[in-house]
Amino acid sequence: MEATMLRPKRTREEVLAWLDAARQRKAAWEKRIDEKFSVRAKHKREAAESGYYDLEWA
Amino acid sequence: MNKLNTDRINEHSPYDVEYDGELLVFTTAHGLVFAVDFDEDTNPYFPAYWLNLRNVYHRTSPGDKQVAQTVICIVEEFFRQNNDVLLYICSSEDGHQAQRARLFVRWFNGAEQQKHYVSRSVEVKGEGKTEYVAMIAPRSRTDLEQVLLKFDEEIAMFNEMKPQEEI
Repeated sequence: MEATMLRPKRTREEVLAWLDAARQRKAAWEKRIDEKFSVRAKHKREAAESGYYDLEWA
Repeated sequence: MNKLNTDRINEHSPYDVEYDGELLVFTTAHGLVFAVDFDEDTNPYFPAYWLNLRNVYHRTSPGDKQVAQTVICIVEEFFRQNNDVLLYICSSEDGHQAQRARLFVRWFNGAEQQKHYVSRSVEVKGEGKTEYVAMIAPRSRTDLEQVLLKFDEEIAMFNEMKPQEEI
């Protein structure tokens, strides 16, 4: 897909808002990933401690 | 976004990259786990995606070059499947954003990469905080000059500085 360069140039405030939104989405993604892998690690730990080593949580 | 093919990634990737149904994930020889994903950007000018990269368990990386090589393989597959622009906003967790931005662009400064991509790393000084943003665009884009012009124009509004790296 090619660019649509004819759109009016963004203001400084609009660019800052764009970056801020990107930063917030990245932070939300990182939080979600941390939670997801924390749950995975917990399940693996529990499986190992239970003695059922053949349980696969990944 | 077109889905990435992990078989193609793994043809040259030093670490095995898996798709877990949501994310690309790889584990290093030192036991570090990295998650990789792409998030659609909202800029009004050209189609772009933000690259998300996470050292999942926050363990210290021992300067493993194979991590960079694996990420390059993933990004190359991204460009094989999507002729869009890739953006990267550096994590601000420990105040090392500037180093991360430079490192990220250096990964794509290799001779082979330069043949195919143009990359930039820029500093954007906003109200009370500074963001470090990197951009990679495939040279095959017919509107590449316009994309770069637009990106540089907007960055110039902030600090009158030229891009830190230009290829």
